[in-house]
Amino acid sequence: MKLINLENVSKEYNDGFIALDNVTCAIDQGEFISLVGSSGAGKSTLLKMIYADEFPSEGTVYFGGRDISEIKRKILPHFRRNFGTVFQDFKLLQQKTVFENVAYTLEVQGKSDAQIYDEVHNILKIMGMDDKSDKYPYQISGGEQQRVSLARAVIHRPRVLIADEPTGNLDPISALSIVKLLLKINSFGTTVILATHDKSVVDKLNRRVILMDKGRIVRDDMHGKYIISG
Amino acid sequence: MKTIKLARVLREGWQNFYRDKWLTLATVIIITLSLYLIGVAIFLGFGVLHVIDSVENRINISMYFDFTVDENKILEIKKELEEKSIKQIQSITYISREKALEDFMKQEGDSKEIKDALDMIGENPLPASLVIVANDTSDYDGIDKYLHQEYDEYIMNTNLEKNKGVISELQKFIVFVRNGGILLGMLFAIIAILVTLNTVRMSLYAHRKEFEVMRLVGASNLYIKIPTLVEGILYGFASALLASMFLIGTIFAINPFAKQIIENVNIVDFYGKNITQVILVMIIFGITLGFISSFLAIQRYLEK
Repeated sequence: MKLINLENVSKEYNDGFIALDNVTCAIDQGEFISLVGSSGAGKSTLLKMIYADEFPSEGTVYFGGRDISEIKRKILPHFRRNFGTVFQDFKLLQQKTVFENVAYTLEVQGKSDAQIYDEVHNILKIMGMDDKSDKYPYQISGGEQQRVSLARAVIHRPRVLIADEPTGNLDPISALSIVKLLLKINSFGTTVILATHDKSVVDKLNRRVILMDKGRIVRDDMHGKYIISG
Repeated sequence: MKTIKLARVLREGWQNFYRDKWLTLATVIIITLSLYLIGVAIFLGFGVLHVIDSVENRINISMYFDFTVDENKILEIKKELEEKSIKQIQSITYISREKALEDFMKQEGDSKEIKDALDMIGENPLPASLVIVANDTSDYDGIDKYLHQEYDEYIMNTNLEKNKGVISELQKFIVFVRNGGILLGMLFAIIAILVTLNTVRMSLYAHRKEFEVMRLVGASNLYIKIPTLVEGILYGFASALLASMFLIGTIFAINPFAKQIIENVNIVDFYGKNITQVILVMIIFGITLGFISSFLAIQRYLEK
């Protein structure tokens, strides 16, 4: 059984825009997938379907064999702990320090203070951010913010890491370091789904590539390159 | 685990309040102004009620007795009226002929002409009277009728006829001021509530993206909600304290002017009696308002 299964999933918004059009695909535990395509192709919508931020108009999304749309609203916060998410705009809490931002994920799960202290400093060390744990987001660079965001996304050891354009706001060197971290996280067994525009990143990875256009999957190569037309 | 989480959401609320200093300052200032407005309305209301009371207490009717009625009979009537304990009557005071003359002389400033005139008459021309104060200005008509019905044989006259017009005018005015005051107070309260609702809504709007992030990292609705409720309560509490301070300051500031306008008035003393209650009411009102405002405002950011 695959970890994630999308079966004939369509998403039509209230204004009539069709973001996903009959999408079917399966993702295995431990895979590293690049999701590519132009803006508005449906990448972000597809990701939202997976981490249950939005639900399909038609079709079914299964996670671990379970229909996501049947999860009770009360259980959703718990269900989302299967995922870690990283975005182009980092989405850090501006009134919290680096340490507190990462700790928040564990706090909502009710972990003890001592455990949180240890785990947060560990992950910040891995991300190379431990010496800036008392800084606020506006006091550090974009690349550093994205590393904090990544630390927050993986500290609770999610099964799937979803990265929506994580390098979109970064210089090439910072972008490369983020991708290296993604690979490292993947090597520990976490499934990584990376939506990106960044051709150089995708080509270097030589992993599975899913190409989307107008809400459909138009290519799905196990060792793909970034090719839009074709 | 529950207590850890509770402690954490309380801390979250406090952090929201004191870390985003500009937002907190802006929010608290606006809520403070609204509460201050309400406080001023309450104080004005107290003042007006006090003035109305003292005016009402000055209204009375005097029941003047024929010269043939002796003092014992008058006191008997007084006792009778008191024993009947008519509920419209607040107090009855006996003014003897001598006391009436004394008061009259005092009022005229012991003028020589009056003394001479009195000497010429050779006797005290003033009748004895019972001064009756009613509980409500609208009761005087009924009391007057009753007195005439029961004691007409002893009565020279009452002064109600003369004062009737003034009393009814005054009564209309008092009703007008009371109703107007209540209406104005309600208007102020509604304005304050609306302003606070919107202010809290806007400060939460500034944080709207953060609620999304909290959801994404697995925070439950309650874990997002409680800190914002705490934040709302803190806004209300801080604003109520500030508004109370401004109110007290205002009272001290206008006291000297009030003294100049109305003699024998010390508004610091007058309001001082009520100040703790007013502050308490303000704080309770502020906290409730902050709580309800943030409760309503957060709903739209929570997962449906």
